[in-house]
Amino acid sequence: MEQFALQESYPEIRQIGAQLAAITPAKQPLSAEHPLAQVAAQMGVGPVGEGRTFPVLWDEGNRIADAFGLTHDFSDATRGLYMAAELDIEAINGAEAVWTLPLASTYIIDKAGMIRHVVVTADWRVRPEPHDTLERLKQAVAD
Amino acid sequence: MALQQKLDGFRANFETDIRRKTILDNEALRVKHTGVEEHALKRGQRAPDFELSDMAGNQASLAQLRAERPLALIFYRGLW
Repeated sequence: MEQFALQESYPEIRQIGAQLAAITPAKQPLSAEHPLAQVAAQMGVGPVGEGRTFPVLWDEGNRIADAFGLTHDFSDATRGLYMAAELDIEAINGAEAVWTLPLASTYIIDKAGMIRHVVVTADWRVRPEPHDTLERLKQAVAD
Repeated sequence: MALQQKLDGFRANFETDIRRKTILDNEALRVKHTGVEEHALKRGQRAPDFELSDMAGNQASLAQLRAERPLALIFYRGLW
């Protein structure tokens, strides 16, 4: 869902002279028949990938997320809940992956590779608004 | 509609019963207590380089993505 909101901001991100990319351990999008994909479609944000023009890169086994210190494991209760919701993380992420996910995070990285701004929260249900990301990028472009 | 409003609507659909909501609220707290927020790379640190492929097989490295302009790098938990 976040990628649709970011897609809306992508033309402006390019216009101000910045770049956008995403990293995910998911090997491919959920099928259109998946219950969560259907909920997203009802909300007018599906199917995943349609119209997306910025790179979404596959982080097999969460290796890059690990390097950024972002991965977390799951309690048995949450794992059961995800399985009941047809979210088998191991299958979604590919055979080499384990039951870990990255925290939903936003990094602003400058041309020298230094981290300029970070939004990372343990509650994955909360995300920064694309507008805030855009403002941070504007600052990084101006500096 | 703001992104967070959409996410909250999505969340309301998933957390349809109190048991489910309790499990996820507890999980968010448990994850917080692992200290992962503190361990994550921070402002002022160098972002480790990477080279990854997208679903079409196109390769991209961090060095390329940030070479000419500042980059917003978003970590997604999944694609839905």
